[in-house]
Amino acid sequence: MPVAGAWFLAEDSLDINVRKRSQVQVIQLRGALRMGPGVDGLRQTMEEALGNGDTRIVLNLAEVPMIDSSGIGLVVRFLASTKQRGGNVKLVQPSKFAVQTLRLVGVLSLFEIFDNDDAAVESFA
Amino acid sequence: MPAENSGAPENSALSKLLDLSMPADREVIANVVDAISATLARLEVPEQKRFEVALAVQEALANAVVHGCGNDPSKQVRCRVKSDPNGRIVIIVTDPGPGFSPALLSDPKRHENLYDDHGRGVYLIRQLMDEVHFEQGGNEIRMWKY
Repeated sequence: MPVAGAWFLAEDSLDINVRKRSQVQVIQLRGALRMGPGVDGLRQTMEEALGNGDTRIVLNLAEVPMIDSSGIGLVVRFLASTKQRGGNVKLVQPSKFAVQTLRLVGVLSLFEIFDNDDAAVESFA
Repeated sequence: MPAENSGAPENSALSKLLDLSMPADREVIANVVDAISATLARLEVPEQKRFEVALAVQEALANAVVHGCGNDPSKQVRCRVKSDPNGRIVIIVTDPGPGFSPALLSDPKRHENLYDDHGRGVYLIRQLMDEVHFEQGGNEIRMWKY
């Protein structure tokens, strides 16, 4: 189970850093979010967050150079799950290629996007 | 949307850049994608084009592993990368599965599909590449990038 502030290195080089700020779960990723250990690791992190009742999620994508269809599917599914529970998944600084990909499949507009973690966290207040 | 009729050259005019076979294991996909990206980087292919090819290959290999091979690592997926004299790149991904009909895929951008956790792979490939052809009943995909 992820510990707040710790980095977890998946075999496919996706680091997942989880910390909690003002009742908001801030998940920072570093590496490609794609099928395999990367998506599996984030799925586990998000399921644990939901299982703990955390439905306010900030997902920092500043260091995610690639997000594939399985990564997109995971994130939009959790967006739907958190919204059903009165929460949300908000994105911070998605990389140029992540924005292009999310836009290509028509889901970019589903998300609120912020320039930094602070602004995203404060938006839940 | 890619053209249906290819202006692509015959195989004899193509130079082979890579010919890889991988077990149908989700955890191996990234290695193949990264090997292709590294090859394109050595050829000084621009970053935007490399990104688009890499994501399309990622999706094609994922489909081959999951749908073509049923995540059975005893099965093999083949991935070939070739280029023509004009610098156009073709990636061919082949799996041993039963194939599929791409015409039956739903549009992931339709409102009722936006929150689905699947169904975007082939759509992405078509958007990222300049020509996409399914052959051998759908278990081989040929993707061109100009």
